[in-house]
Amino acid sequence: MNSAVIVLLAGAIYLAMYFSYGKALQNKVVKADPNRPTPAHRLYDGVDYVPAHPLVLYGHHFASIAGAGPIVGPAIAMAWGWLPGLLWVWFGNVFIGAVHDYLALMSSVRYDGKSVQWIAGKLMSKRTGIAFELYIWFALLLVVAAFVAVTAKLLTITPQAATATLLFLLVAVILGWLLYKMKMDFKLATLIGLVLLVIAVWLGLKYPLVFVDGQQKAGSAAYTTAYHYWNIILMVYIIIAASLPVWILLQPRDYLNAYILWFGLIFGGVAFILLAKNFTAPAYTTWSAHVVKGITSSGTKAVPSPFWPTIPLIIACGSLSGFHSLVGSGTTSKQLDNELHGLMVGYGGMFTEGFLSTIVITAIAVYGVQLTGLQPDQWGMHYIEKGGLGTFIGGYAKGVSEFYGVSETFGKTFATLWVSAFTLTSLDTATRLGRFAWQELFGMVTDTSKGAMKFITNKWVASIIIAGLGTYLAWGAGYKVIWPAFSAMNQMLASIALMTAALWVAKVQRAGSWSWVVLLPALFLWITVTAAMIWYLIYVPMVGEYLIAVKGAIVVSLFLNFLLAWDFWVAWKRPEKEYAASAA
Amino acid sequence: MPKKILESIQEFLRGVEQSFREQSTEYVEFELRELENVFALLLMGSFIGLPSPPTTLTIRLLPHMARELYVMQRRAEEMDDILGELAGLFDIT
Repeated sequence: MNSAVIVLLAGAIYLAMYFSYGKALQNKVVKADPNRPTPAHRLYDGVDYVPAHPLVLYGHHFASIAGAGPIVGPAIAMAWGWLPGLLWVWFGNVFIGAVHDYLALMSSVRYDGKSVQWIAGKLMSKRTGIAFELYIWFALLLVVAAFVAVTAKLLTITPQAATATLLFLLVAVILGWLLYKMKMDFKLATLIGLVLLVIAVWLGLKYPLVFVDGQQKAGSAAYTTAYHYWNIILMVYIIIAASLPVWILLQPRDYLNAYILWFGLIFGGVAFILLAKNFTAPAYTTWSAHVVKGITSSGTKAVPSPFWPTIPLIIACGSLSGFHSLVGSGTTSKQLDNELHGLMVGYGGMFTEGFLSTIVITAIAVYGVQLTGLQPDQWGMHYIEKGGLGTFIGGYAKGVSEFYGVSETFGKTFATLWVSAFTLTSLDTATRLGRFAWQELFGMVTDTSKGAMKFITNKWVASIIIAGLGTYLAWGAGYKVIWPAFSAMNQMLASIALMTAALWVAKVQRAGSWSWVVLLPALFLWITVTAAMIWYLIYVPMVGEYLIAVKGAIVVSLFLNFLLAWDFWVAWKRPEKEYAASAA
Repeated sequence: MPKKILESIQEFLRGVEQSFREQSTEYVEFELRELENVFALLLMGSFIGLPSPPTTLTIRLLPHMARELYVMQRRAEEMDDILGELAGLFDIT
């Protein structure tokens, strides 16, 4: 297979499905009406509810949902070969992920911009809403653990990117100061920021940040020492970054991230289309490739993982992601100018993310054999040990270096900067959000000891708890161990959102037989995720603190999962007329 | 026809530029709104028992606070849904 064919085929499938299936969803299921005023008009206040240009909303929505998730998952799933991963990304995108994002957005639009969690509480039961909240905190803890592990590994094996990443943070602080304190002209400040960013990459190439000689070789003693150094640095970074005023770091860094994201996507996309290289990786290895990793007393161990049901444990964001429902229903729905724009923002936004995952799979499929040194017949068993995120970065670097003639180290540094920029964002935003969720959860507890409560809900303590626990989990295990658990929680969230959407479509929208296009994916996803979690509990070995944290989180989610199924069943049996009052 | 295509491209680029700009302001806007809430509360503190500016001053400022009052009222109604908004604001994955 050829890289150009796959990238162009992805584009063609996405375009065709957008105009056929997407439009059908718009007309038959959502029944979008351009004349129905959206919350942005109905509740206009010039603050939260403001109609935005559809492209602005699309760009903003995409920047919010895109991150390291659509890169990490497909990079691990390559152990099954490139075809299963690609099919899951495309199938999941078109029939589940994009439907989920679009319906979460549109149901929120019909409910005055309320979040899907709120709608779940209204359509199902209050309990579902509270369960949702508890769930979010656990999911955020795993986000922190997974991304500390990912970032620490990346920065250890690519020391050039370590310098560039630290300098990138400094550039963000300078940009923030220029923009918000000096009130410099926006375009000029942006230009200065981008020039400094280029200088940061150049300095990274010249002065790599090496803690221990030989740390680049994953698995060596030097690697482990440097990895632990990065763990500590990242923990301190998270705690400080999550407590700084937003204008100092968060805001300017997010702005620069948008440039890195689009530049990386177009830079790599063009290279892989025009290079038209043949795939070297096997299309399919074996049904039960070694993918999901557990921990035994003698170290980490990958177990044979059947493609179904374990695939949602690996590929999350590139195919479908529950966090997107929160983004879609939180801010995007309040700014939608016209109901017809929803398709481009919600459905189209997810397709763009799937396109990013396609690029990831293509990069590994082209250069994977060369980079991992594995023959195609060894992939199913050994890819998990040698491949992963690093293979994507290496493949991307080789692709852009071959096409544009830049050095491979530059490609590698840029790709690592690209991924680590996102993981760093996820790290401190997850910590911030985890802090709010923590404080909110304790708000529900009866306060019998003023001092203790004040201490527990203190801003710094709440940050230290989530950052400390997350780093502790990352300390002894790589991201490949924590990733499946995080992914399972994420998919579970998607399952809740999609079931809520199914109820809304069937009972409030009364879409008739078209309800099945939402109900079937919702049930399929619920069954898949439940089966995957049960499989995980039985087959993946865990010891010590991992047994408690990782499997504990899975048990909690599994419990919530059944609770959700029960609530859904009770709500589904309720006659339609009971929903009439909530019809918007 | 070419003019229309050119206009569409211009519109597209304007949209892209605006979406980037939006990336640089969303959090700051959110914090600004929170500060406005605090300001409004301080100004009308007598309603909730806070020591506040003299009532005559408050009454004179009241007409300028119409928007804040409206926004605060709606936000008070939406208090049970704050996590959704925060999750929307922060980019997690």
